[in-house]
Amino acid sequence: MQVFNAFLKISKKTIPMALIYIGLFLVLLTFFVDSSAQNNTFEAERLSVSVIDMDNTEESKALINFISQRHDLVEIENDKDTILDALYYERTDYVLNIQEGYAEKLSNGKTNELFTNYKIPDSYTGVFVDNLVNQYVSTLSAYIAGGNNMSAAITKTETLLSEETAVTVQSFSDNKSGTEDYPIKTAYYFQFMAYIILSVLITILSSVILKINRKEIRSRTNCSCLTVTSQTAQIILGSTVVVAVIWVIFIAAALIMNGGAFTEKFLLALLNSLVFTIISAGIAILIAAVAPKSNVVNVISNIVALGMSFLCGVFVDQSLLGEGVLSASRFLPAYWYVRANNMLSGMSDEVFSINSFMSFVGIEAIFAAALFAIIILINKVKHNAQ
Amino acid sequence: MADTIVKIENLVKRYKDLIALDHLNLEIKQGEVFGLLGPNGSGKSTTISCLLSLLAFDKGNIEVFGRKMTPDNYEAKRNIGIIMQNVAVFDELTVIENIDYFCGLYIKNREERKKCVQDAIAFTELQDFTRFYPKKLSGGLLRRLNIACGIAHKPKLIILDEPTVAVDPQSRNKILEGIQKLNAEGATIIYTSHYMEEVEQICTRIAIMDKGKKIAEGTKDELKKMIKNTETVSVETSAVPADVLEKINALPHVYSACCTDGRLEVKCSGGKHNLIRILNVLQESDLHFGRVFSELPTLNDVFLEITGKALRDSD
Ligand SMILES: Nc1ncnc2c1ncn2[C@@H]1O[C@H](COP(=O)(O)OP(=O)(O)OP(=O)(O)O)[C@@H](O)[C@H]1O
Ligand SMILES: [Mg+2]
Repeated sequence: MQVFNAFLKISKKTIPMALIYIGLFLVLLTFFVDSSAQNNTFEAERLSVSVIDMDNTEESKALINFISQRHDLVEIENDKDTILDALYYERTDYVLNIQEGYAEKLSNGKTNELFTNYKIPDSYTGVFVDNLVNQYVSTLSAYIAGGNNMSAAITKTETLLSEETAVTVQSFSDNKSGTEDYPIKTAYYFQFMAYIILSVLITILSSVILKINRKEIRSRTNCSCLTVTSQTAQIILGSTVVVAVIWVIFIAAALIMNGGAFTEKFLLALLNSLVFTIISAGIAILIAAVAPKSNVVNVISNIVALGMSFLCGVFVDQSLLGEGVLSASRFLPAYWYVRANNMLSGMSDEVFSINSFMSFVGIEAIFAAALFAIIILINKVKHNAQ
Repeated sequence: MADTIVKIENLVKRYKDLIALDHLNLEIKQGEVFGLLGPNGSGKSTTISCLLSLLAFDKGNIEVFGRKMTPDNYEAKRNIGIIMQNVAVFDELTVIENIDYFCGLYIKNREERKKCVQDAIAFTELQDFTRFYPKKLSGGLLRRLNIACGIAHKPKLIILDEPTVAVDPQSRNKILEGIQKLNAEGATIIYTSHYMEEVEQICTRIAIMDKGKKIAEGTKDELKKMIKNTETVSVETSAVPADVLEKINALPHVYSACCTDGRLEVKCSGGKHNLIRILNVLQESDLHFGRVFSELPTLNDVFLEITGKALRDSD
C-alpha cells in the first residue's frame, strides 16, 4: 500500500490550500444567506412604537394588543417635548395617540380623526405603522358594517390580518424562503457547494495525482516489483478516500445547517451532491491527465470552477441568467445540479416532482460516465505512446 | 566463469530518425563493477531504460538474471536497485518517508523494511537529515538520498546512472567509496558516467560508448593496451627548430612530436627511457627547458584515438 500511503500523505500537504477555498466559501455563503434573509426582515423587523391611549376602552386596548404582537411597545409620557426628544434619539419610531371617543366613533361607522400621531417625516417606519393601523381600522369597520358585534369584529380582524401578513411576506421574498423540510439556508449551502467542491477537488486531487504521476517518480516506481495494476488501483483507492472524506465533511456541515434533520428533501440533496462530487472528481482527474505541470493547476481550478459556477447559476440565480447563457450551460453538469437543487427548495418556478428531479440527477450521472470514459481513453493513448 | 547477470544482444533503439542505440552488445557478470562510459547523448541512459523495460526497443534481446527482461518480469525487478540520472523523490515527503516509500515497493514486511531503511540511512550518512524535505537538501545530499532510495531493499544488481552529476569532489568520493563497498558486499554494479576518472577509479570492466555504439570494451589496462599511445611526454621549452623536431620524431617508439606555445608534446608507443632520450636530444641541441611531465594514457586517450575527438572538452 505504498502508493496509497504516499497519496494520502501528499494529500494532507494540500490541506492549507483547501482551507483557503473553504474559508472563501464560508464568507461567500454567509454573505449570500444574509442578503437573502434581508428580504424577510421587512416582516420580521420589530419597530419601537409608543401608544398613548386617551380612549381607554376595550376597543382601544385591543388595538394596542394588535400592535404589540407586531412591534415593541415603548412607554412614553404624553408631553410634546418628551415625544419629540424620544423620536429624535430614536427611543421610539412612532407615537400613536388614540383619541378619546375611538370606540364610539368606530361603533358608529366613523373612521375619521381616530388618531393623531408623531413620526419621522418620510420614513419608511412611519409609512409602515400608518399602513398597519389603517389596515386594521378599515378591516374592523368593514366587519362592523357587515353586522358583526364589536368583539367578534375585533377577533375576525386579528385573524384575517395575521394570515394576510404571512401571504404578503411570501410574495415579498419572491419565494426565497425554501420549504419547511429544506430551508433556504440549506438550499444556498448546496448551491454554493457546486463551486467549492469543484475548487477543492481540483486543488487537492489534481495536484496530488500529478505529483504521484510525475515522470521520474512513475518511471522509478515502474522499475520496482509493484505491478502497474496495483499502482493504478492504489491511486484510485487514494482518490476515492480523499473524495469521500471531503464530501462527508461538507455533508456534515450541511446537516448542521439543516438543524440535524435528515428530511426526505435533504436526502435527495445529498444524492444530488454526491453525483456532482463524482463529476467534480472526474473533472479533477481529467485536468491531472492533461495539465502540463502541477503549478498551473490552481489557475485551471479557478477558471473551471468560477467559470462553470457563473454560467450555471451557482452565484447568480438561474432565473436571472439570459436565455443564451442558459441554453449554453445546459451542456455543463453544474446547470443540472443547480436546477435540481432549485427545484428542491422551490427557489425556481419549477414545481418539485421526484421524476424530474431524478432525471436531472440522471443527466449528471451521464456527464460523470462520459468524463470517466474520456479519462480512460486519454490514459490508454498516453500508455501506448510510451 | 562467473554467472552472467545482464546480457544485451543487438539492441537497437530509434527515436524517430535518431538511432539512439545501434546494435549494442553487453554482457555483465556477477560481482563486476561495470562502467558505461560515454559523452553526453551517447545512449547510456537509453541503454538503462531498455534494460529496465521502461522503454520499448526496436530490435534485440535483453536477459537479466538469465531470464528475458519484460515489463512484468517482477522477479528480476525485485533484485534490481536503480538510481536514476534525474533524482526521483517526492518533494512532499521527508528523507525517511521517501526511503520508506521506495523500499516498501519491494519489501512489504514492516519490521524488515524498517531495518532496511535504517541501514540505507546509515550507509548514505543521512542520519542528521531524516526529517528534512528534499527541497532543503544540498545537491550532494539529494544525490545521496536518491542512492539511499535505490539501494534500501538490498538488491543484487545496482544500476547507477550518473549518480555524481553536480556533486562536489568530497561527496563524490564518498559516493564512489560507497559503491565499492556495496560491490564488496556482493552486489553487481552497473555505473554510467561521462567522468572517465570515476570510471577508472572504481570499475572492473568498462564499455566505451559513442553515438549509440560500443566502441571498446575491457578492463582499463586492456583498453589502454588497445591504443598505440603508452606515454605522453611534455616539455616546457622555447620554440623548437624543425631539425630538432625531426630528430625527436626519428627516436625509437616516438610516433608524434609537435611544439605549440612553448610546449613540446611527444607521444610514444611502448619502449622504456623515452623521456631520457628526448631530453638528451634537447640538451645536445643546446635548448633550454623548464618543467617536464610524463603522463600515462587515460581513457580519454583511448576515446580520442578511437573516435578522433575528446571524451569531454574539459573537466
Ligand atoms: N525521449 C526522447 N526522444 C527523442 N530523443 C531522445 C529521447 N531520449 C533521448 N533521446 C536522444 O537519444 C540520444 C541518447 O540519449 P541518452 O539520454 O541515452 O544519452 P546519455 O548517454 O544518457 O547522455 P547524458 O550523459 O547526457 O545523460 C540523445 O541523442 C538524445 O537526444
Ligand atoms: Mg543519461
